[in-house]
Amino acid sequence: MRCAKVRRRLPLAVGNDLAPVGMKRVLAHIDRCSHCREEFESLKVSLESSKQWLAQEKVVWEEGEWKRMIGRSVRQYPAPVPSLAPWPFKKGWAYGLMAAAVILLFLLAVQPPFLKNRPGLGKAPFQKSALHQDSAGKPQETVILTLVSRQTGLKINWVFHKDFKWEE
Amino acid sequence: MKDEQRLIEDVLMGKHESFEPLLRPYRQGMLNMAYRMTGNLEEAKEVCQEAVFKVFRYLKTFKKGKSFKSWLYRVVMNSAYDRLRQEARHSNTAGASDTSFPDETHNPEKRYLELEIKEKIRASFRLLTPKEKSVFLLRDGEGMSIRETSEVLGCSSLSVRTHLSRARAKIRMEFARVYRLDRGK
Repeated sequence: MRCAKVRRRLPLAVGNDLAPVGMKRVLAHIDRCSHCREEFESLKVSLESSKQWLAQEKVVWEEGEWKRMIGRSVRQYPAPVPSLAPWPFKKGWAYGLMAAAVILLFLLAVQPPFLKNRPGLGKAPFQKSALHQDSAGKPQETVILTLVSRQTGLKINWVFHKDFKWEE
Repeated sequence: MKDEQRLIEDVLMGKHESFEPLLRPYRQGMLNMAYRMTGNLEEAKEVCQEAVFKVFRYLKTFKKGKSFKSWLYRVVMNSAYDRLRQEARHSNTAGASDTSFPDETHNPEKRYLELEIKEKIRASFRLLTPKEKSVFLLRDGEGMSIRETSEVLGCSSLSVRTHLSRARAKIRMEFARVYRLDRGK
């Protein structure tokens, strides 16, 4: 590794912030090159002094001052409203669900043509009059339902009377 | 971590008394960070106040599972940046940094030497850009890893390494310059 390349890496090497391979190469170069070693030592001294200064120059909160500050913060802003939903509930989900509900209601209310013409969603194909009047125009009183078995040919007739009267 | 999560949930549910214990472990770190960024104790306290307001107000936006410490330091850093920007606008007040650090020593000679060294280090700090300063303070002052630092500052690890390298090189240059001047006296 050349000196120029090593010197670019020295500030990181001094704080052990290089990748292990890079660190190994830099240290190997420092062992051989006295100029780079001098630079490395100089960086080390300045970094250690700065760290020492940072460790010494600590400022502290007075207990009362700290508590006053927290009190001011809590009073200044309205309390966060506890939500009904659990905490990790995402706002986006709520908006998405609301949008889906609105679209569904709209479709049910308006029934656009592409939905109307689809089988199963239109009006029932039964005619009311045919069920309630016979050929003479009299109101129909009974409905007979015949079930035929394909295998045995057995027929079962069910008769439903309008007044639920029993017929044999 | 679990306790922290519980405290956050308590605050969000309206238990304000949980807010102070939530911040307590980081209070000195916050103040020191703000102090080193602004260079003035009173301003540092104001920065902390602003940061605490923001933390309380926007706690609901904190994402569960992320590091609260990183988020908190980020808020402090951003408040300090805002303060520095405001100061830059009103530049007539620039350079009025507090130099009266508390010093308990009673030996005047020793005190003078210590003050001189501190002043040299402080001078080297003034050469750093806000970003370089914040990277240096988080990595070398607070002992955070490169990854944590990048989380706090919201930038890549590569960017952190670049700024850290520049900061250390600048500090070293200033040290070399000052000591050369001293030797020349």
